[in-house]
Amino acid sequence: MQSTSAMFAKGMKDILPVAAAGIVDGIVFGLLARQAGLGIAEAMLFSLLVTAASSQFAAVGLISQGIVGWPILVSTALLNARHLLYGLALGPHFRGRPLWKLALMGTALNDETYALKATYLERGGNPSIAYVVGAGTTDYFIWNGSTLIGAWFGAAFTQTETYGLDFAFIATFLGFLALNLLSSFHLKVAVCASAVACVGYVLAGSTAAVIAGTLTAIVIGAVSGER
Amino acid sequence: MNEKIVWIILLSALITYLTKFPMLAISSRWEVPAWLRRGLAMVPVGVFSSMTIPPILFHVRDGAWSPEFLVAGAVSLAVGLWRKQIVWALVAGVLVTALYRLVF
Repeated sequence: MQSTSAMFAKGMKDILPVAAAGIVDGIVFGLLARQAGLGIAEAMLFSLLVTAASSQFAAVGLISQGIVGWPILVSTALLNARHLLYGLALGPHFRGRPLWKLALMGTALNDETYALKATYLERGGNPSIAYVVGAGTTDYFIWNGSTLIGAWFGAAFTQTETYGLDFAFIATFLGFLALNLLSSFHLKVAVCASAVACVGYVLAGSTAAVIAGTLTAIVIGAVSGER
Repeated sequence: MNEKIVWIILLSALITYLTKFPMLAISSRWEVPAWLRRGLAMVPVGVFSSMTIPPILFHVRDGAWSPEFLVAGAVSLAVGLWRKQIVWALVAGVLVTALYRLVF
């Protein structure tokens, strides 16, 4: 078993190729935050405190439509509910570890660090909290650094529609969707959730669409024996 | 800074952390029922499809329904499935939208 600091350093290094791919996302987030009317400080506060790309994108999308209030909190909760899944998958590997260490690991848990850790465990690596926290540290610096770059130059972009940047939110989420279509069952769930979401969207708008669609997916998953 | 936005950010940060730590702690101590596990496993697919499909299908531009997001979305999803990287889906979607507007 390697030392804690060695595992921390290994985590910091192993996440690099994954986290580097997020640089563009961070820059685009910074740009869109400025386009939505936020200042550099507010854009940075999102990345420094929330540190969850997809929910930050959704929040800024709502703010750009003039919605500042509970719909942002609802979309944040729903989008980040996938972390419950990561906790659920990783928890059993960390039986009996002190809660404060798990609380620290919780801060570092995100799409990238989960994907890295799950792959690492599958290859027979030992369950190291330091490894996850190291990976999360690199990820944190890259995400915040790229947000700052985007936010800094964000005000210079004026014709976002010409550059197709108004599609950036949806395109990012389609990327997330693509990564999550793991089987034909997932595809069927996606089709059902989309159908219900469309009804919600037409009747009551985008927040209702996300709530209705997500609940549909959860219910189908829970009642179905299939994986 | 807008005070309301700062509050929203603080609450969002709290909500986000609550999705990360408690379940990790619970599942490191106890067994979680299979139905809940299966339900949660479908959260990502549910959220991401309901955030993308409706605004693509019901996209309105200059007061009329427009297929531009449908075209860009199809390419973006295909590229995402092919490259397995979010950033490529993003780049493809934005490029196609820009090109579509250049042509039509």
